[in-house]
Amino acid sequence: MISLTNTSLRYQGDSVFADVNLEILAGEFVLLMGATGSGKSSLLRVMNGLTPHLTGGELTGDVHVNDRSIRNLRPRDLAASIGYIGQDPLAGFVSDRVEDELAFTMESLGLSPEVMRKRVEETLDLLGLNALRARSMATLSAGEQQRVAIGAALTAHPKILLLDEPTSALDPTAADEVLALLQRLVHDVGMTIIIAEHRLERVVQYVDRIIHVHGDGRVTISDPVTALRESEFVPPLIELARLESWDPLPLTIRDARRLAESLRERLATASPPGKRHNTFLPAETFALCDSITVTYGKRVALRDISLSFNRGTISAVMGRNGAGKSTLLATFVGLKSPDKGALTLGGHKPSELSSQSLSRLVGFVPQEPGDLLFSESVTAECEANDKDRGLIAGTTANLLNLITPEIDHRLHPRDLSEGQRLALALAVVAAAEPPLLLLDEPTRGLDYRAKARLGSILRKLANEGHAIVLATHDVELVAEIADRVMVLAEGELVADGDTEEVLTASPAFAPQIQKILAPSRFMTVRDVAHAEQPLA
Amino acid sequence: MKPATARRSTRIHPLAWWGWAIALTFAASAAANTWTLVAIAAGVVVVSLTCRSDGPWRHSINYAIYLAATLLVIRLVIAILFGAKIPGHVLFTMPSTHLPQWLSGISLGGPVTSEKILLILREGAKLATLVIIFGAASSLTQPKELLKSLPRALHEAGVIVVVSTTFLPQIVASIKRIRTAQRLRGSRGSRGLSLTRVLIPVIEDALTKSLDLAAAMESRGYGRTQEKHGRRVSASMLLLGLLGMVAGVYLLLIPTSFINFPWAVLAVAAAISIIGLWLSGKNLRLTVYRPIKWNLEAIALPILGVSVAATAGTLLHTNATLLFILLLVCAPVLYLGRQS
Repeated sequence: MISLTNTSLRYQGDSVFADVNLEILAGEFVLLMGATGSGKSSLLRVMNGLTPHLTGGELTGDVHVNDRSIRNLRPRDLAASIGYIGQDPLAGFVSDRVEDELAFTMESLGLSPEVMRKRVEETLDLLGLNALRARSMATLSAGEQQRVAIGAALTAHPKILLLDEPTSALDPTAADEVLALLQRLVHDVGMTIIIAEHRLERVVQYVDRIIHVHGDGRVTISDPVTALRESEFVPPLIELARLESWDPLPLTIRDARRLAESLRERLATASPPGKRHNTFLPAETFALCDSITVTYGKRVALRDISLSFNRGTISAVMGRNGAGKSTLLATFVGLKSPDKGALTLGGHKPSELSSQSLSRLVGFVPQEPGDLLFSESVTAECEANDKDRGLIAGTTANLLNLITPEIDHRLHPRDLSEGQRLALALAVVAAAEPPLLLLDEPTRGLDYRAKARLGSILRKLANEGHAIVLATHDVELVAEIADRVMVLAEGELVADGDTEEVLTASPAFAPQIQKILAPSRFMTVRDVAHAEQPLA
Repeated sequence: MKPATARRSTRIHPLAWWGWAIALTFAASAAANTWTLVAIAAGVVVVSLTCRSDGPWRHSINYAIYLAATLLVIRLVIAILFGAKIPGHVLFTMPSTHLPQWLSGISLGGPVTSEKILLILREGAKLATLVIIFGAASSLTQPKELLKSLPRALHEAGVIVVVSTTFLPQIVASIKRIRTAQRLRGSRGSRGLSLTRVLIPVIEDALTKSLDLAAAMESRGYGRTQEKHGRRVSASMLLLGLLGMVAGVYLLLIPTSFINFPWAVLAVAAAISIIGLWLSGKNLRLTVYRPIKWNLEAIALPILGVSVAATAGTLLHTNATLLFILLLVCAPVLYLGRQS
């Protein structure tokens, strides 16, 4: 279906990958994995010609789609055979209504109105979008947007679908829906699908083969078991399998549960993981809200919420897209004042403080860390921050060195990797030592290594006495680092308790390890390793 | 929410509404009597309030009414303050001053007569009616649907307009998002400094978004049927036709002695542009999803408009004619009914 022969890509002299040879067969579901910035997206875009036609770069070797070389074809010429869905579906929409969006590619292809109408109706049914057909794009949830983007690609009846991180913005349930849909397209419609994704735990069980972009120029394709055995990035499931030296390597929770029988027995007698240790004691409450209600016009975003954030504690706020997580953060940083109820930060009301004094109490790292950064280089960014906040010169730079020592301070913030950019934004915010630190969806686009790094930074900050709050969909991250979990649904607080208690009670939010080892309450590989150590 | 399909099937071709509206503007300019204008304006408001579409442009009639009223008030105020003196029944007298010699053409203040106010209102009524007609036409049609029914050669330009209307709100949202993030950084310093601090991330964000959009449009086949050759011929014909039409309108408004056949110039120019459009669309393999068809109801609309114009231009102005014009303007309501 797609074959790359001796394909190499260079950007301004820097090699992204070299001498890639791979062949993807018709009807395969293929995962593209690799570290952030390793060239996954570039490789995906080579397959429909967006690289180099749109992005530039120097491509050598040959790329064949359906036994036809596409070196001299523009992506628009391939629109009928390959569908491409970018990272941010909203940014790629061209119409304001779902129905018109589905028809756009067909209009460009010049299909007759009768055919278009028929295909739009079929696609609406296939993807369960009929109820949304007249809706405007901006009113759709992230999961619905992703499904509409897939539908818009499908109406052209392509043989191949390329998707760039389709689940990174989705909550676990919406992500499962999208992946199940892709699975159905492969099995029922015979589509060939290639998907680039960081959250391997969500995808691995569905795919036939894995393309591994190593980051040093090598690209290999193999079956999932081989690829994961060699990979440096693996989901928790594989990590556990390595720890227990299970063979063959299980790819699904079901396989792992079968292999884990003896482990479960051993762990049943082992002491349970116990609560995480807060070295910062006593756990003093810094921020709290008492039955607050927040509305946007007539819409109630938060209803009667009471909760508190303690110093030294990492709290995670979870819930569906649109459940009120962002509103909760916005209320704590003083962007939104509650219509009812009281909210205090260290005894102050945020709405009564100037933005200067507020920024000393609370720090906020937005979903897009680039929103905070405006300087030409990392050094300039740190210096501007010290000056702005009246800190001793070098404070921000020192903190940044503590967080990521290997960062090149001469680089432009845009040229940093996603993880480094997040670290810089975090350093800028945390330098003023605000007791409350809020992070909105910090792991979007981060690979496992960057995520582990973030986890240890946040733990360090918590131990220094910060109250840390994460709004996130990332179950594995929460299982790894959070002390407390709050779950919001439709603006109401539906669960609030210890991580272990909340996560193990919910099928949607249970981490992989817990699913394998239930009914025991182990949630992370680290906990299991810890419990196994005395036995060994 | 009503099912969209039901609404879509009763859609009226947007060009029909525009044809109706343009005929009514002729009626308004032909009307010699202020009451005729009032009848036309009132009828148009009734039609647009009942038959308007449910898209974001449905409120344009409201704005048009405000605009028309504001224009009338401004005209009145200016006329009362500066206008020429018109003899008649004095309503009240404004304090007046003597202006220097070189401004002798303008009078300031002085007596205001009821005749003067009526004259101003009568003069203003025509403009106000035109504003209301255009407001009504845009609330009755969606600009997007109008773009859809344009000739194929203009399709891609139309897509760009639609894309930018959906892209701009995203940029506005990102400005808002970035400003709040920056405020929490505790930025201090001059206003100019903080402006660049917001602007740089906004521009970077907009660039990333537009690259994403370009990738999406490219991979979805946008512009794939663009014909490189033969474009020059059709483009020059279009240009020639448009220039000819401008010249024709000029000749029509300002008659000259050399060329006294402005209508012929207009007709030839229009024909050239239409051929140019057809030529450039001929090679494009583009289609439109669910095109709006001309049905009987749609064809009736411009005919109704033309008959209003004919009535307003020819018949004597009696109360019966006024009622007839009002009914004729409102006729679409009778057979189209409530649309939303």
